[in-house]
Amino acid sequence: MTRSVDRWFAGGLGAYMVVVLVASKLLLTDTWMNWASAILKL
Amino acid sequence: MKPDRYFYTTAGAIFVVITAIGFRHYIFGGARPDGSPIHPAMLALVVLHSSAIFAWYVLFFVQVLLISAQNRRLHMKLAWSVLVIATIILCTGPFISIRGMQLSPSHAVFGWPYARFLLITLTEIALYTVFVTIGGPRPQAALHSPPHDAHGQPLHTVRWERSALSSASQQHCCCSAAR
Repeated sequence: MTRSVDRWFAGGLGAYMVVVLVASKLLLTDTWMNWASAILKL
Repeated sequence: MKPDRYFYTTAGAIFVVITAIGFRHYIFGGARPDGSPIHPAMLALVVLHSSAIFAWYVLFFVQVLLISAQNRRLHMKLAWSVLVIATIILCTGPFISIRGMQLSPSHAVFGWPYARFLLITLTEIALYTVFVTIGGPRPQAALHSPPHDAHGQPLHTVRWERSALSSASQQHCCCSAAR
């Protein structure tokens, strides 16, 4: 079994979690709702 | 089989089972997770999208099995099918998300109005694109070459050790016979 940490995998997972966390905060803003309304009209 | 191969094979099998259970309404019934029918205008795309995602996990499982069976050549050839599957997922994903919101604006996901959840969907699709681009198949991926130590010397594999033992025993026999 590989015992060392896969840095690329760990970095990717960390980046994924941070980005999704930021997105989950942004989606609560009015700015996003304005953008979503614009997308809805596409 | 090495312990890490057990790990990846088991993980791959679990992925396939969980995905099949989660997507069963989409793939086999053409319905939403709650059993309600999918809008006819979306049905073909949703089934195509969910089938592509299901194929993604099946491919992962098959790829792990091929490595376990030491069929590296077929593993590397089959890896190119990722491009087809990922392209289908990427092309259908945003369209389904946006069109789904247009058709069902009052629909809620995890307690969020669909319009808000759309950001999560689009973010995940963007991240998926980035990760597939970074980790996608390459003609001569370093991961598929024989393992090397810190000095760039190839590590002794089981096969190498077997052949070395075999030649050593042959030499021993020859030496014994010569004596």
